[in-house]
Amino acid sequence: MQCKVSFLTRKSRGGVTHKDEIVSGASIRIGRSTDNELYVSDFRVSLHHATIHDRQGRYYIEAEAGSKLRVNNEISQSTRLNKGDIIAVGPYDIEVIAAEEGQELSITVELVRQLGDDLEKLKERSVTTLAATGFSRRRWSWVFYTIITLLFLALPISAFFSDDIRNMFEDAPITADIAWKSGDFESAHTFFANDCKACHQEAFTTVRDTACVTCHTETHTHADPQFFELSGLNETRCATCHKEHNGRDGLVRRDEGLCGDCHKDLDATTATDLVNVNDFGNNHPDFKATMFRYDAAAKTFSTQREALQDKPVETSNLKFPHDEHLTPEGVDAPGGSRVMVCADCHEAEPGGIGMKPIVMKDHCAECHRLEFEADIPDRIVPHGNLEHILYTLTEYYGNVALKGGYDDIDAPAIVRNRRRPGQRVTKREQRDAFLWAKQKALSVGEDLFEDRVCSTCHDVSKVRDGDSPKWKIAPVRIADTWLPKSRFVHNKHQTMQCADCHDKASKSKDSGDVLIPAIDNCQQCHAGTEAAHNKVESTCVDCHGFHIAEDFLLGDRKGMPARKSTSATAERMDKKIK
Amino acid sequence: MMHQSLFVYSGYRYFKLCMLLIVASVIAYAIHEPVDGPNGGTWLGYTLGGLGAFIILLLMWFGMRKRSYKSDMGQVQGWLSAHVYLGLALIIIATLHAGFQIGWNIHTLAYVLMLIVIISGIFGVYAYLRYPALMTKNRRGSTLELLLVEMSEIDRECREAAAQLTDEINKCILDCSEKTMIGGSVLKQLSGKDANCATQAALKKVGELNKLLPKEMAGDASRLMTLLGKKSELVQRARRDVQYKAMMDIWLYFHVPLSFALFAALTAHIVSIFFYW
Repeated sequence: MQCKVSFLTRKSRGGVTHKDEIVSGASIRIGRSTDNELYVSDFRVSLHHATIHDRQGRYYIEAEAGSKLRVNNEISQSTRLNKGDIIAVGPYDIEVIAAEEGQELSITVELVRQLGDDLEKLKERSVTTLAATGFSRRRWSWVFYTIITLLFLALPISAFFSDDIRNMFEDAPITADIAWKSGDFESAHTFFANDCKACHQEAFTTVRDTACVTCHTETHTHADPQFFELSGLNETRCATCHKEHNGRDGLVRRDEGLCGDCHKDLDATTATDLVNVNDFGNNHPDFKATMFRYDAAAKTFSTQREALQDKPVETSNLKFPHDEHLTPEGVDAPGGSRVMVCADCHEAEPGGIGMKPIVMKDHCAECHRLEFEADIPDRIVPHGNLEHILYTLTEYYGNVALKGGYDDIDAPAIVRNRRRPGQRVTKREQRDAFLWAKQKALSVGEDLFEDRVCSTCHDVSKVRDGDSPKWKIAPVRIADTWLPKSRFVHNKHQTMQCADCHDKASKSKDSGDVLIPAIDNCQQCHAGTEAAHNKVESTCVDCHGFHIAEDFLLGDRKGMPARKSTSATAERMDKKIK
Repeated sequence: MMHQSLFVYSGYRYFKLCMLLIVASVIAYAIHEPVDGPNGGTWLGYTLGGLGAFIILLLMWFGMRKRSYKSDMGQVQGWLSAHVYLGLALIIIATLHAGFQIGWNIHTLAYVLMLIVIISGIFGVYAYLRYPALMTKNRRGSTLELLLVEMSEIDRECREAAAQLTDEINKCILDCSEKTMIGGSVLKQLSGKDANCATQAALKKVGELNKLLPKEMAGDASRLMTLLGKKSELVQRARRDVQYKAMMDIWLYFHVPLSFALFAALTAHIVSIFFYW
């Protein structure tokens, strides 16, 4: 068969050029391979793509294995060629046209599907910059900025001004302004910790004392504000010393400046007899003992402070030589000699701060027995009221007298003679017995009071009261705290021996000696905050309190609402407490 | 003027300034004994906080300065030198400002954002020191554009070479030319690799198919293999180029948005401090 093939090329300006070729063969093969009758050099065409067969003057085109034909836009493996058919072979369109004279078949071949620009396509596919991936720095900047501003600025502020917004978070585990919390609360404050407004009552204003005094009405102020007209004292806010948001136990300021700022030169700023002080190690006055002083004429005690270095004498009206009790040889005790130690009498009270009071019954009576008859050591007079003692004696000797048989040559016969059962006692005998008993009680009492028993420890004086004598015992006041303006915790010093501090006790002959140690004793271990090397750093508030003005309460301070205030905060607090 | 590294700019001017700031801050912090422990609310805390906030604004202003070509407010290189040193000093100043206190709050959020921004900036400095040299070496005097042009040239040559080879080989060549891509997603750009690289696949497949060809086609086959090998090498270089560029850019995608996040957090931090004074 013979076929005329026109290769068409369209020009960009329009118009078509064609290159004609006559191909012939038993059949006409179409493909990329050069051995095809109709050879097209495009890699999208198979080596052997299709073949045109002549079957008795009818022409068929058939696809070769693995190739595809598209005849008039329909996929086909084999089809008869008619005039006007368009067969797509790879990128080429083959059109059957009217056969020219002398030709069996005429077709045109045109490359209609250009390969396109490889480079452009490659560039289209490739994403070679991060910006091209769609991530935008500007967009993310806006997103982050907006989210953070809304959540952490707009929300807390609107919650502060709007109860509605704040209440939206009432049952939530977090609050609208939780992100603003700068640190943990002091443990006592945690129950209202989520209510920032409880303390921060006004925006852009420091926390006012009124917020604190909503609860702390009963706390004492430091000093009389009238007497100590110190700006540093009276204008100081609670929060100056009490710094919240510093953890569970970080609320109390402990530095030296807390007190030292005013007290280091207090005499220059105010008329006071308080001594300047600002550091326990370097600048602290000697201890002054507060003691009872007895005025014998007025028969009253007063307290008096005296510096320990001046060797003050205390008048407790009790005779007590520590040295005799602490002698290494021991004291006479029931059951023999006994070596006494401090703890026999001085017992720490529960809590361990001070010592339990010394009581005759518990601490003295075992040795210092109040017996009045050598023959009957079991009978003792009661400790305390002298009249009760005389009653006890009178009752005892009255009973003895009436029973009779008492061995006393000065006694009347009724007392001396043993009575037979049923023997009656005359009125006269009764009177004699009673008189003797009274007399006896007085003489035994005098012996007890003045010589043998009471006067061992007490100051006893005999006074006349009409006919009968009377005795008075000077009242006793034993101090339990000599330094009441400070706190000393005995328990914290358990590793020490008593004598490490109270070293003079074992040599003290007189109860007037004040046996508490002077400041240098404490300073062996304790220093202030300055130069505290190898010593316990001890601040003022370790021993002293700040809120000590007994007559002045924070709640009474001018401008401070009382606890029952109707302020919004108080209401909220009440609600919370309920 | 000789090229000056941003580190040595003007005789280490900003290095010295920042060392001075750091030393002064550390000494002040060591001497200062606030009553309630070191924190942002002491006079030193407020001072360091104010200084830190000022530095942050200065650092953010660098983004404005480098864009305003007309500005005569110092050289951009000087700004960059200051930007880097002040950013590093900020770590110390902000940490001392916070007194080492951290918590779940806006204050620590601002601090953490600041640290991330600074760390991404440190990576940026590292990237700018390391990758340009690698990039130059990798490009061998070429550019990414030229590499792509070369690749499409090779695609064309491959087609010519494969013209008389089997259809399967031509299919591979077509895939290689139509499916090979450079870069892609963020991760692909950063990795510099493509697990489904069409060129690699074609190289492998054509190598296998070539073995089945008759001897007379050996010439074309070996030419095709050479071309594919060359393309593969070009593809790898192009991907590495994209990778280096991505490394030089990626940190900015953290540095810039997070610095605006920091700016918001810093604003909230400062407002909250004085709001609940």
